[in-house]
Amino acid sequence: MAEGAGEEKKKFSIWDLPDVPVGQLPPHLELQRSRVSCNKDAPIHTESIQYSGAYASMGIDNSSRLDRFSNNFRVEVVRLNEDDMEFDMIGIDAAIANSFRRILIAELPTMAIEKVLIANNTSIIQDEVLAHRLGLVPIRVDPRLFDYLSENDQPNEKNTVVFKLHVQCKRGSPRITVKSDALKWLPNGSELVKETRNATSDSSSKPETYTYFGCSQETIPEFVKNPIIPKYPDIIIAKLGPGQEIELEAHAVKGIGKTHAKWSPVATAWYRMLPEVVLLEDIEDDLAEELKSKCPVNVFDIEDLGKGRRRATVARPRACTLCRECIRGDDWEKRVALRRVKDHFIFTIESTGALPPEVLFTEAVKILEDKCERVITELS
Amino acid sequence: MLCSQMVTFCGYSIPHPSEARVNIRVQTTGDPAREVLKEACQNLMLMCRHVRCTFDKAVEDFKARNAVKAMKIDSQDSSGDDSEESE
Repeated sequence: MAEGAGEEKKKFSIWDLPDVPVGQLPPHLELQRSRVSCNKDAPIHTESIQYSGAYASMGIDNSSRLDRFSNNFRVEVVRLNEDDMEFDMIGIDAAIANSFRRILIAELPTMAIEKVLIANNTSIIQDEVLAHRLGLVPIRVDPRLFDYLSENDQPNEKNTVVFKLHVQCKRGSPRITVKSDALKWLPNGSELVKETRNATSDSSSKPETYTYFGCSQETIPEFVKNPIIPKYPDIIIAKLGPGQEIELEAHAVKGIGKTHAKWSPVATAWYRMLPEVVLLEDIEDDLAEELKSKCPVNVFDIEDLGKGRRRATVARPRACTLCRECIRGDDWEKRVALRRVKDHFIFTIESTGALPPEVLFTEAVKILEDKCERVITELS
Repeated sequence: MLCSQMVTFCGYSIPHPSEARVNIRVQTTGDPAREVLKEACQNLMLMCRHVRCTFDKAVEDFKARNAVKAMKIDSQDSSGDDSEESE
């Protein structure tokens, strides 16, 4: 067989045949390159074929060039609210989409409460539990206006936001629930006075507190319009019985999700590849009804062909969750093919409220660019 | 980097997950490997910029389209016309 084919090749080349498309892969290879086939047991062809010489024997140049990427890349926004968004990215590689997702979760900075100075806590919630809960409360402030606070720095108006919580449940009154709207912003900095050993000399000047604010944060124009408050006013922080009191000061600083999840600006961010449902043969009448009833998300629809015959069509492939119900029985695998498009990603970003989701994505891309630049400067 | 035509082998490994260190190995067909790595990083940067531009434009278009739709719905409500499907 091989010898016969070799002799034939010397006589004519397969490319001379009129209907073989030159410069394109044959359909089965194109399927392998651009789609993940989800079979009954496991998906196949999942890796992206990136090697530049991969299809060299077919005469195809698989190397990725920037101009080809720029021409093919598209973004389509499906839904955009104040707190979440869903958009499609078409023409991008899985590795880059994954890096955006990872940066969104772990490396975008936010402000969150880190230090809690407790003056009085007679409630049943322990100090450390209270501090942990306060750290997880999302704060509605743009983290780009602040700097990081390192160990050697003093906390000042450029890197700290101070909140105060003072709640008391009087004897004889019913229990109260402390919600996050009880956190009051102190634009002038800490009010708790530090105890210093030599307190005699500086009695005329201001007593030293735990922060060193040069000027009030209220003077910054962004905060005049939007005072800093927790994003959701109804988060329960603690519950107090009669006679119990909580008095504390909380300092919020800038950090990234890698250090602690409280600094993650997204509730979560995820992507999925676009599902593609293909009917390999015409499915008619009873089989069509059966197929339509199998799918839990109503991907299939029935259309009338006239003369009482009905045919199944794929109406909403995007809603498919790939539960594989439609290929579960006997023979169904021959009729329905479930695939995913390898370079079409449906991204969903849910923000916790500090920044709107489209700004979050733009910042994530900027962070990836900064990292590349750092590598380039280190290499030179 | 795999897609560049000058690269015959490239791979990375992370020796231990607790320390932030990545070993990258690049083998090329004659060009210095450092240049190939730099070029790949620069390509990635340009790709990121393009992604950002496209994304910003798409978000603006979406907002503009929704603003128009909201205005159309408002004008329909206020004038009380018979229902007309917008787009």
